[in-house]
Amino acid sequence: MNVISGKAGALSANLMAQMASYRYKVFIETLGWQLETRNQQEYDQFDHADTIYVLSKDEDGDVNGCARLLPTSSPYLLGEVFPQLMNGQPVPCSPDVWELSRFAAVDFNSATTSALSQFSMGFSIKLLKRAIAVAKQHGAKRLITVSPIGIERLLKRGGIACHRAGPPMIIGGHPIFACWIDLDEPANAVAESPDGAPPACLP
Amino acid sequence: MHLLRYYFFERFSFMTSPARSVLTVSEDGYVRLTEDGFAALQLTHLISCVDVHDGMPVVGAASHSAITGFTEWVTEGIPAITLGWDWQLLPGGETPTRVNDARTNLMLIDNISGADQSQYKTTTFLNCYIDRMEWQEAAMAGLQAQPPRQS
Repeated sequence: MNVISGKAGALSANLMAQMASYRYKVFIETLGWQLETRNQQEYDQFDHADTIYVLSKDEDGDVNGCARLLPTSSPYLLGEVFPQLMNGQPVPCSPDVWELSRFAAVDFNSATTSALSQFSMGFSIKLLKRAIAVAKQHGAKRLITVSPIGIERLLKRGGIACHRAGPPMIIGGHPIFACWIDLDEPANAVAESPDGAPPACLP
Repeated sequence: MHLLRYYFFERFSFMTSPARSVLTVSEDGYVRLTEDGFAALQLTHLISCVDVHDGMPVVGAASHSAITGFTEWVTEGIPAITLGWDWQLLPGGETPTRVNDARTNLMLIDNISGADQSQYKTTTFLNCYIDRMEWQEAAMAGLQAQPPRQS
């Protein structure tokens, strides 16, 4: 797994374009989400200069996984678009709490994707743990996500400690919910690279 | 690439209790209750889905012939307790059974000390609770419903 992380300005324009095309393929073409797109690429208002991306590439250099991280102390997806998922509670607003969004781990070049994807189990968990590591490097103590039920099933089966912030709601025809991931839980320990160094992280 | 689609089933409500809830949500997102406190609540069926691949039910991991899906239940009012779990229906079986652990925002607390009983103990309790529930009829109602419009 070749993982790269950083803000848009630190990643190449080509890699950012690949990511946007990958997101289009996953969320628009495969999952049927109704999102604004342009030239078969998917970006929204939360893709900006301070957004942190975690991207994985396969052996051919193609993007096969992505995640987006935003601090909840700035505008983010759950806070701006889906506050109703918080079970009557205010949306988090803290530099200790980051949002994980646009998470996908589909290898379109592989024939082994499971039927529960958007994700394949082992690969997804590895990418998620890398995203957790990056979030922790930026000061996160907890993550919150807006997720379909499928990702919670994946997290649980992958041994990731998480729990619901509230009941699922049917939005756009899909049951989605807000999910907490506590980064201090032993089950969510940071995955380090083989030489013991933290994952590669561009400024 | 396998595509997972859901068939949605009609909501089936058991109760008519007031919408206002007396539950409270902690800062960490958990709703904390004793076992007796949770048992006093009534759960309403929210939605149930079958795992589908290209229009056909997906075979489950536990058995090559099982049909699998998930079901979601919730207490009335806001804040609410949410409880969901996976199910499977074995070939020749008449009723689906729970598989995998319950998923929830509940944290059980000790009756006397009020201390958290841990996510593990909470999940174990809920698994047993679900297995004693008569949830199958409500969850399986509307099995012939059409898949949702992709919008």
